[in-house]
Amino acid sequence: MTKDSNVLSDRIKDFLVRFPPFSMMTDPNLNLLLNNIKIKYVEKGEVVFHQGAAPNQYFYVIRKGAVKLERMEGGNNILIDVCDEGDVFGIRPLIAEQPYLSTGTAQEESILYAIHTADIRDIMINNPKVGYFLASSFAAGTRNKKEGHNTDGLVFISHNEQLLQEDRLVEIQKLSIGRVPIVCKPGTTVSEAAKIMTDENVGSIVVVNDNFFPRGIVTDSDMRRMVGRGEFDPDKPIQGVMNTPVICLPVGTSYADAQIVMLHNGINHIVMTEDGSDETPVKGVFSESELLAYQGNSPGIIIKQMKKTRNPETLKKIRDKADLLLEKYLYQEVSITFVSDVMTAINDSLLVRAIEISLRKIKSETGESPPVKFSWVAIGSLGRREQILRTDQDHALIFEEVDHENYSMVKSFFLELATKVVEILKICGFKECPAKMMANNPKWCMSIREWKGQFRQWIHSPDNESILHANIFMDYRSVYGDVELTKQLTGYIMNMVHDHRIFLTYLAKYAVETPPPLSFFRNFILEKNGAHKDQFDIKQRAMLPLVDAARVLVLEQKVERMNNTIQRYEKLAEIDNKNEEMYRDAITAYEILLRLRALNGIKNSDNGRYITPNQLNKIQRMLLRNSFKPIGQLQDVLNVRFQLNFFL
Amino acid sequence: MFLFNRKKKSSNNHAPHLPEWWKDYMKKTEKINLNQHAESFEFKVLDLETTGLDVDEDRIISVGLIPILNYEMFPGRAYHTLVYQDHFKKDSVSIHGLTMDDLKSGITEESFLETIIPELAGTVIVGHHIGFDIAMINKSLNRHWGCKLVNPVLDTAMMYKRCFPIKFVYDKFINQVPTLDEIASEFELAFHDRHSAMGDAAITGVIFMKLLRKLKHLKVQTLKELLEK
Repeated sequence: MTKDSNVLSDRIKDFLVRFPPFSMMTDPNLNLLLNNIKIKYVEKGEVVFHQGAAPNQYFYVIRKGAVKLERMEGGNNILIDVCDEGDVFGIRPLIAEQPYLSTGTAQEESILYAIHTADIRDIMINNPKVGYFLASSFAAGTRNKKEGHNTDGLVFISHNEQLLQEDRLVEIQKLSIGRVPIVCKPGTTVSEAAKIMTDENVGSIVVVNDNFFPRGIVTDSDMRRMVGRGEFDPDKPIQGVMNTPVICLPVGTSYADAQIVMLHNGINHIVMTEDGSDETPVKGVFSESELLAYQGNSPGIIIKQMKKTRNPETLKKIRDKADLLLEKYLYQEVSITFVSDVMTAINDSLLVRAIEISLRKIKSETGESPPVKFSWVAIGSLGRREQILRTDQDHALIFEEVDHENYSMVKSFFLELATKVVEILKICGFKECPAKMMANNPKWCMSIREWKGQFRQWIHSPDNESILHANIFMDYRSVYGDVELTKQLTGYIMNMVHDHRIFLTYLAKYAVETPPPLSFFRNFILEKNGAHKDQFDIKQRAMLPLVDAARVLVLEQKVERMNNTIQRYEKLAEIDNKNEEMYRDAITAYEILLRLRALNGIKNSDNGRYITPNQLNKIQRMLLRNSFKPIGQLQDVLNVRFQLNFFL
Repeated sequence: MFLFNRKKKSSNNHAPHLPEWWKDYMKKTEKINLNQHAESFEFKVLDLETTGLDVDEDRIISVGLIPILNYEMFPGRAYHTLVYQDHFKKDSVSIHGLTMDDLKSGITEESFLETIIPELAGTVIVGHHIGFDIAMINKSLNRHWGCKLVNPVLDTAMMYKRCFPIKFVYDKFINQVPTLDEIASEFELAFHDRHSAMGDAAITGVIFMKLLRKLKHLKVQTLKELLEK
């Protein structure tokens, strides 16, 4: 053997160093592993190890393929984890020297790197970083209440970026611990305590025993009360005046819970202890004023601020704050339906405000007011109340019927209005729709009669282009102005749709045109060609197919004025009982997709549409992959129900 | 590969002047029990880089050899070397990427033989279009010692054909055997350096493991059954 480098070992090394704990290893560490490494081929369905079996000498890193870990519990086979490229599994029993807690089966044909345990033990001893990483990974597993116990799959976060993300999450949670607690001993005199509070500029002091357990709390208002009642005795030990027992909450309590406890007990300070009892050390103090500061970023306040502003730039700044709120919601895993409701309310208010500002501006410039009633409608995702991020503008305008001679005057007023609104929305970060589906486009700023005609044309003579338009415009929702106009239009459309099944068939055909990707778990199942070939178009490939399927199915069921995709599926689950499970799966899938897109958009400060798969962690990738299943099922149902196979 | 015919035994292989390592090799290799199960046998995947494709004119310049046992490859026990050759063709640099300078760190052809032959003792040699590699080694053995390899050999191209006969009826391979690149890309294995002896050997190894498993399902179990044409 010569000294020159071994290409194979180099390549294995190149691969391993992309993932922890190998990324923390020194070159000699890695060379040690490589001496004894094995490249193992397993075919689909092959068992790598059995639950209960004694650990063998090796653990595994997936080079290619996927391995699922399942545990038999009380006769049920529970899926614990699916590992894919770069994931480490089968390591825990080796270090803990216990039998495998699960059975590892190749979910597909895979190539594994098998690494000798003795080597990793040596490295753990010599490289504290690796040792610490592995130890803390186990510890994290034990603490995780969801899991209950350790699993054989060490869910290593595969990319540094995700590690950062986790840190951010912790940061956000730490906010709720409040500030570092200011404490004193029970024997401290009242005047000493008051001095500490003044020096530290805090509104409360926690009285702790030697174990740092909270024994009492004294606040500004207690001091004021004592002075006011003439009970203030500066030399009295604090334990004689403190409030006791202390009302405590565990670390990690949500803002909502803290608020409830404060209101319920009529207190304005909450002490955070390790487990929420007063028999564990104090970790933080959370005051009402901090709660208020937090609420300063609440949807209610954002909307109020929007209503007060007349300046588009200020409007933008307020809208920026909503993204911070959104970020917080997303990291705290607030239900995505709640998130989209809140963001819709904010986006609606912004739109309303933009219209009001524009109307006011026109009035001051020309003295004109709207000549007739009109309705400003949101279409597309805002129309469906699903616009979480600042994506493209999509809107239209419907005005009351006017006679021929006034038509052009009326239309030009509304076009002028729309032009101003579009400008404000642009300032606020909503880009213009590239297809110009906006109210400042003469095609989409029309009288109610013209709109009826437009829909009639789409429904009577559907073709690809009209279906494309119908899909976007059907999801209209009045945001400003006269709702009677939209009601009228809806009645008109619904009557017509049911006499023209061919239109529904076209919608169905369109909805099945984009099949879901088969699978997604590699870093590279993506759009063919195109500018984003290394990225996944979550909107086009996963969300719109669900949106389109829901729309045609509710139309078929004659459900009126229900725009929201999740609500549509809920309704469908109710009406079309035998497919309930599929609709429930579709809801879950859509919620996951909304969340992933929002997270992606927040992370990259864009519309979140293109996802780079290797920025997702393993669980997210799995969720995304699972979301494809109901799409396929729905498309099968559409194919059968509308006999699309016979339809040319 | 037409030059190689494993049935034709060279009488020179047992000549008394041959070195000990060769005698040892012969003893071990002739003893291989072909009735044993392929899964418990250690194969070796071989790949050579050469100065060209002419067995008479060209020379071995690099070799990669990886042991495989029971669907596991052992990179740590792989044999890899560069071979220094006076005979060097510049135009082949573009394929194997090895320059004359690189080869200066290589060992002589004689020590190459002395080190690789013990590695090949008692094994079945696996490779893609392996006939060529065997012929190259034999040519070099013949130059120095006048002997020839006696290992049973397995060509992954032939194994592929055996696994997927249908592809040779209707498909693009109707008149030819697929190249390593073609199979690697079909199996989505394009992850090691191609056109380096070790890189190619590793890919061949993975393909071999996959095909071996496939053949197992076709009831091919012993070495003898595996070596059937």
